[in-house]
Amino acid sequence: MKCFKCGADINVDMIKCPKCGNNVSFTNVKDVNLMAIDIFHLMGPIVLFFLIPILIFLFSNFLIFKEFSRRVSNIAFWFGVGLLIINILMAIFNKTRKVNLEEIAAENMIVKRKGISLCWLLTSIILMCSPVIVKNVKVYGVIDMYSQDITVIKVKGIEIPSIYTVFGEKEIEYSIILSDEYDAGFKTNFDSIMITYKKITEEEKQIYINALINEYDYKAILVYDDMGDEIICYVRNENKNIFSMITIDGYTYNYVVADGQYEDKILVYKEL
Amino acid sequence: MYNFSKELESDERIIWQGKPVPGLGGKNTAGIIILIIFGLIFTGIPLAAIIIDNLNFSPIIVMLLGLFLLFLGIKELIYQLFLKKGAISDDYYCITNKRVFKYEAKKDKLVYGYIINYEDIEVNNVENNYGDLIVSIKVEKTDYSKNIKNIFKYPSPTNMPLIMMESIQDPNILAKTIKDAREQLLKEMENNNKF
Repeated sequence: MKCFKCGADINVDMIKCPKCGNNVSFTNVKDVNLMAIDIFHLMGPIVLFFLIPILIFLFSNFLIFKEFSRRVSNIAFWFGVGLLIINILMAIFNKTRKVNLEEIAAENMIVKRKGISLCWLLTSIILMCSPVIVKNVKVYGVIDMYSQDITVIKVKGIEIPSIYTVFGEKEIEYSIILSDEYDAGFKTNFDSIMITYKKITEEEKQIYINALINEYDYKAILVYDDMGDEIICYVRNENKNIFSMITIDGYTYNYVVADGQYEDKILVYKEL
Repeated sequence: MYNFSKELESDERIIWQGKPVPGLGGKNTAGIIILIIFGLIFTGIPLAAIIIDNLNFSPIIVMLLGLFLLFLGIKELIYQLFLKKGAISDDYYCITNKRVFKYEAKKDKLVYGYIINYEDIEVNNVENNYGDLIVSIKVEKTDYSKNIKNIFKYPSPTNMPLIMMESIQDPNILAKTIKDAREQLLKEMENNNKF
């Protein structure tokens, strides 16, 4: 690039020609910032661009570990708060270098101060929203009793890539849905789990149910009849014995044990 | 025609002056079609996945990309078909041995830039000898850490980093004219510097 008056070599961001002092600036506006803020604004779009796929990956692979997800989302929330504060402080206390101010004033240029970075603002908002998302997402899993593999197949409202599913197999007769709202059982903190299996006898089914209640400490087990809409619920009382069977339809409901005690709501995912 | 003569310096002379002919020249059709097709693909497939609920992948990012491409394509289409004529019909251009001028009558705005710095000279959308001519400074990749965006976002009207002349006749010839004028200027400056 050359000075159009004397032909001296110049750089694209020079204001004055070093040889003749001619005004060679291509803009009449100058952002004056500390170097750190330049990098901060530059990194914003990059972080936002990579953050979204990372979050989707994390949600799709780790949401089955509810406790882990809760902790990560809490960390993300405070990280987002910190980013927001830094963003605002940088906008408020954006200092100018004195040398540049004099130079700019001499050339009658307009000084612009960089404000809040929109990309960092969006990033901090997304991070601050993650606990809300984790809290409201329900995770449903599939356990294949033959291979003992646990597969996350669907999160409420979001389809998750699954390793494999056993749905659609013609030989499925019954599905057992387990429901648990606490950190017991399979250590994966599913909100409900559906077990699928091929033809079994009533006796085998009862063995599975007993095992799941006694070994994995589930509060209730719901048996969804694949042939119709009927759901049969096995409810466990405080003594960990199967107390009664009741029929339930619908998605969310209370159930009553025989002696009149009310249990907590159990969310049932009827269709998978 | 705008009277560019009153803007000239003592050793400056007009080589060419003219105005755009809206409606002539290419309309960047290929670019628009590509943007819209890819936009529809990247938006349509994820949308179908959501509706059918049968595909096993997370389509949000792909859909956002598709919507962005679709937006660019439709925006360019609307400009080319409906807005371009009104936008450029009252513009006037002038090329001298030292500068390139552009006068926008609607805004009563005169801008100019110096040929010696216009290393990039580009001709686009040529059809029936009418097309667009863009002259601009060259920005190196290493310059991006500086305030480069201000140069194109808030250009100095008396030292424009980029001037675009749309729908003009024989843009290829004018591009060569500017290139020759620049080379001449560089030679003159080199000779002056020697003395």
